[in-house]
Amino acid sequence: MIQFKNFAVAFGERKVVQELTFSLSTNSITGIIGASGSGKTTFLRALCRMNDRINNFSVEGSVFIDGMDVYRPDTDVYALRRKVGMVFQKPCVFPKSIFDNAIFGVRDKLPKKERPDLVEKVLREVFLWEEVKDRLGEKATTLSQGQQQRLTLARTLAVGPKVLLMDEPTSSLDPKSTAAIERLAQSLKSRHTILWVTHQHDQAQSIADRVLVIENGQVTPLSTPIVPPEKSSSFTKILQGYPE
Amino acid sequence: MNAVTAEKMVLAFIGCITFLIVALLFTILGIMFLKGLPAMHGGFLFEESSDFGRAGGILYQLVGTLILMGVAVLWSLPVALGSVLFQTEYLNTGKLKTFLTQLTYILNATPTILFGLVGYLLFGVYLETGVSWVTGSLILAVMILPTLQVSIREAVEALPEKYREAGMSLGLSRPTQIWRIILPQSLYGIVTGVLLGLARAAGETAAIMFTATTFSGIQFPQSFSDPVPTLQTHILVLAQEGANPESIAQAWGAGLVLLGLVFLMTLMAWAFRTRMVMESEL
Amino acid sequence: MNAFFCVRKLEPVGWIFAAMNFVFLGCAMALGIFLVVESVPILRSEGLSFWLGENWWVGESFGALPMICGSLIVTGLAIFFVLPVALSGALFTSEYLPPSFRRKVKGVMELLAGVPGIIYGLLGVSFLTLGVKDALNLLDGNTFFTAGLLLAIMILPTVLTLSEDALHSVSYEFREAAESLGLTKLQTALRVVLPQSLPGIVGAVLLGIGRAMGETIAVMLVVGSLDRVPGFNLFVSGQTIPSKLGREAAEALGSGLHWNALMGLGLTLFLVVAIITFSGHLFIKRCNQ
Repeated sequence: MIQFKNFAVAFGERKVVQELTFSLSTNSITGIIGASGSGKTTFLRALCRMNDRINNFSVEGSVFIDGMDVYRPDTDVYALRRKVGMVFQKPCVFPKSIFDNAIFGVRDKLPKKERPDLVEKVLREVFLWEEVKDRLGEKATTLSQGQQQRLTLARTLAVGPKVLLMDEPTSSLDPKSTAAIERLAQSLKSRHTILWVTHQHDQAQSIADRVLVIENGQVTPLSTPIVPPEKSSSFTKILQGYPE
Repeated sequence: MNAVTAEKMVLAFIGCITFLIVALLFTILGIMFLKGLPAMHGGFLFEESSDFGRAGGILYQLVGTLILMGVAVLWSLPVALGSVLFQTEYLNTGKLKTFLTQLTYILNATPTILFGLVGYLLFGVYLETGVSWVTGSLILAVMILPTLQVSIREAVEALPEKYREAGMSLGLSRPTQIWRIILPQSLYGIVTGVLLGLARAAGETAAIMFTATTFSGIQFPQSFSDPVPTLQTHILVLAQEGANPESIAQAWGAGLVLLGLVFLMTLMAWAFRTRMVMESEL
Repeated sequence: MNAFFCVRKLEPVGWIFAAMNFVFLGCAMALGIFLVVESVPILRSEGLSFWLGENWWVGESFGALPMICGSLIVTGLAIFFVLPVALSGALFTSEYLPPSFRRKVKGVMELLAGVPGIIYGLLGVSFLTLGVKDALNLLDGNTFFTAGLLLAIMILPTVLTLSEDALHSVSYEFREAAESLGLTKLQTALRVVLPQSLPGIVGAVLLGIGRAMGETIAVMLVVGSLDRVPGFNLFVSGQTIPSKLGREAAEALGSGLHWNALMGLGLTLFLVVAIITFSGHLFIKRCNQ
């Protein structure tokens, strides 16, 4: 699904990732951990070319996502970004209604009468539908942080990505919302390939099928998670407190 | 691919517009030089005008403009400085502060000719200064007051609270604190404000054309009740003699000098602003 | 002491500052008070017909309608010309130019905004009126259209730089969120950045209107100074409130009903500009929150 060939990412002189040759399988969750400043966010953003406008940013080698060469000059970067969705650290909803936020990325491509169905579908996927179905017209900024983050995820899902890049999506959320997002990732795994950046080892181990460590420009796999996700104690404990 | 092409076309279009807008400044500068330089014979700046402005130089016009703008700043600076320091250092409540700030904004936007009308009544009639350079400089002083206030206020409010706290913890009295900490630290705001105020006063015509100036006859004001000739009103009179090429040529020359004066002040203000900002970041 | 006038204890130096503040307050108040007081005689003698009267004949009647209409027309034209140009420039500067170029554009705008009105007037008299006259085959190039065009050039830097500020103040995160959904840069600018900065842009335009309405010298030189209630033809000479004041203040200086009538015009202009500027600042403040 995602294949790196001699892939290298650099900021001017500073190498973030060197000589990475690696492939990630479809429909899995890959956790990426590393100290702050190790470049894990930069690495993630490089996969959907969000760093394009940064001046001294450069890449070498190549990376293929679903057969698409990300850094070939004639690659349609907008099509790429629709295929590779990204969820940011801080939920960033537009100051529009919940409904408008959910269909934001596909508004121009979708006939008007198909929109409500899509909104319901993606909001159900992120377990938000029951909470907001009666107030879709309200401003999205009235939602709680956790709800907002699930809404941004729904907004990304509406575009129909195959790959989801999650950049510390739970770092600004309370434990309950964190658990909800983690559970959500598990349910999305069947249809999406997920890369999840975090600085918490235990979170990476509990949710991911495999964990990569970024350190000094090297990307190395951590040994297979010892505890399978469903048996992770801290994870299930929080999960039990969360209403279905 | 169609959407991408459309986007590129829009981008090229608004890029061209932006380029043209920036080019506007250089067009204006170019025209001023092209038209103004021929009038700038050797003594243009140092000769009297003669033959109703059609010949000679612009010495006394230049002097008049410099007197008006310089004296205006002399009137305006203490008021601007005092009122800003009162508002930032002594006033506790937000409501009055907001009101005074709004007043500054409204004064700043007031059509300049109204300063001329009311200023003539207030100064010319009630202070009995008549049509004179004193009246003109007082009117310009009120007009540039908001420019100075905004600039000084920005500098004073940009001071980190820790400076004031440090002063307070040393037991400095408020006046000492203002003198030793706040004034030195916001000096660049004061200088920038003064320069921008000078530029604004130099460029103003409407407020002084019937309250402070005369076209010819006066060289250097001998008393407080004399009007002065100025560059601005000189251009105004000459520009309306469209049929006379000599008048227009002189107007371009005076225009170039005036524009040069205004831009000089603005560029000096920038130089000061950037230098002080750089120093404060060290 | 109530909350409105709560002041810290004053030392002698403090009293000086307070006095300076009162000088400032006094100047601002005097402006408003004199305009009102000096307008009373004309409003008493003409009543509502001061604003609705069509004829301004010194000694007989003072009707301000031609000047009011003229000011509205010229300002409207200026906004009509400036809006598409300024918004294009602001969008390009804010969304596409790298920071160093952006600062240069802003610097050029500051310089342009500082060009004295009399210089614009001189340029207008020498080029614009002749250009308009030749291009449209008119007998006289001093028209509403010419004045509107010149005003548009004069307020362009103000409107551009303030709308650019509004666009630029939209947080970077919103742009990234939109681009990560596959929107192009232009779509992002139009669907995310523009709606969010709309109050700021409205404020910028209002401040531009305020400036255009008050401009005296440049307009006076190219508008033709002819008092009549304009029809729908924009290519005729006319008069605006400031140009009327500029033309007649010298002869009416200080006394008589003529002077009062001019002060009445001034009051009208002041009220309109003050309201427009005040709301402009409200919009900009809302945008920055």
